[in-house]
Amino acid sequence: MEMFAYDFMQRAFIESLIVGSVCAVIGVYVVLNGLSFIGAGISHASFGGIALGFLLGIPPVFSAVVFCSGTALAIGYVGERSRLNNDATVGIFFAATMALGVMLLSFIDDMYIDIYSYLFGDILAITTADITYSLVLAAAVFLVVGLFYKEFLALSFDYEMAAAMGIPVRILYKVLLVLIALTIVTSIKAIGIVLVAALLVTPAATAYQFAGRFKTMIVLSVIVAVASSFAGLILSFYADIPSGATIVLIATLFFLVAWLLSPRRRKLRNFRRMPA
Amino acid sequence: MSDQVYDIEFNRVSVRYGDTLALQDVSFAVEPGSFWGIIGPNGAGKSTLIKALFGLIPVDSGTIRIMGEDIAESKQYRQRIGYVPQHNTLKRDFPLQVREVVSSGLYGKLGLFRRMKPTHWKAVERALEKTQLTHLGGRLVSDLSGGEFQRVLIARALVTEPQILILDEPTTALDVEAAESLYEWINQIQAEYGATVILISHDIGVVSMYVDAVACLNKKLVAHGKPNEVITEGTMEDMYGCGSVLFHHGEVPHMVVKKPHEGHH
Repeated sequence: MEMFAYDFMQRAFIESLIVGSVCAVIGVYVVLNGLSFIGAGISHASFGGIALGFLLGIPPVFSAVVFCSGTALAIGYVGERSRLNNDATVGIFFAATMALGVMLLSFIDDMYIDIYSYLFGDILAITTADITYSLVLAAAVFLVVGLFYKEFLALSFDYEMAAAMGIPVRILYKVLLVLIALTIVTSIKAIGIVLVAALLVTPAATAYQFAGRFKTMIVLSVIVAVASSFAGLILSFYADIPSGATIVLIATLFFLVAWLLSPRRRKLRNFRRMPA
Repeated sequence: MSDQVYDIEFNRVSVRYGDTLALQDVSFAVEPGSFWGIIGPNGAGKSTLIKALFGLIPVDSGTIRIMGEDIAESKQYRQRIGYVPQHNTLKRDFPLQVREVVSSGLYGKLGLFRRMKPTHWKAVERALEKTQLTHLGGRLVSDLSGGEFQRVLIARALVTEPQILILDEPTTALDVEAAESLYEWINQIQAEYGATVILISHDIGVVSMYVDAVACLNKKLVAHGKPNEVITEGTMEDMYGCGSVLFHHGEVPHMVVKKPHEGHH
């Protein structure tokens, strides 16, 4: 195919495979634990981290890892120790970290920063170094998910029971938030701060419509995410439209079709009609 | 208390959330193999009592012993307790099969980084068999009725063959018929496992029908003992802070709250 003749397209496909897979796996935990807004909050927090990277003259991915992980832990810590709802805590950090990013960028007036590509992603501009960073971060996420697979499953299904069984749920919940942060940083260059939350939620939510089992949901989520990414790339190449937005819109289309055909939705509708 | 080893022993336990007293000077002891009910109004400290028992919240004063061991010294005792949390906190549409839900009851005992082995899956099958749920093993939890789902959660709690089983409001989401059927089944299961059962409920009638002893809780222990001795209008008034009339349908007491103007007769 013509597009594979270009190095940038080859890199884009490799990156979309990595990003799609990692977002799809972590997305399953995001959807089942109702953490979508936390995902959106952390992704916006990365704006502050990236701005800090530019200010310090280090690769933004490094500062974003530290900044996003710190924000994720802060959201978890404050949420646990205050009477505020999780969404209020996220709302506070969401805005504050964005504001910090704007503030930090204002100090850099002597250099050109392509902040737009971080906001909306530019998968066609991915470098070999970006792929290396993504691979390392994704491998770290997969390793931790594999190590704590049964514990994450237990706390996602029944937090109270998991705590009673002696599983360190409070620590693992924060580890999960950090994994969400790492996944977001992995994906920012390709999908963008504004759109990454969609790739974190939509493929998993699509898989949820059909999956009866947890492992099936993970596999289906990966298939949907990678298929959306590949289809989005191909379409954006031939139609000459923004790739990140195309990927997200195709994933959304998959979701809408799955939702319409969903046996789970029909079952839930029938269940709600049943007498108590 | 005597030298006898009880399954659960609360000795003058008090718990505070900041300035709010949640449990005050609570003492009771549960003999092995008995069936206890804990009743009380909302906010009486029933959930706090469970959290304190599992060491999930710090105790302000007093001691809790499980099978003779002070829970402040070791957390190993948790593996000998099966717990069924309230139905309404759970995700009914979670993508899991019944067999997987039951197996998750072993995760705490397995410990971190260890995976399920064939012996563990055999324990799952044994729990399904003993609880007469083998036919549901391959079903998705989203396909179960409320009563079936509750039985699966109890099978999950029993998979480690615990010495103590704690049920927190197990019939909240069930209709009367399903609730009665569940309690009959719990009675059979208790005989099968020989476990001590603690039932937390607001249903005075049901509690008195099935339990050997009842504890009436309203931050402090208002009374405890045999149901027919403890469940009286006086105790109910002390516990709920309002006048009540108890009337019996057969052996089963039912409580009706008096309107303020009815006063005491």
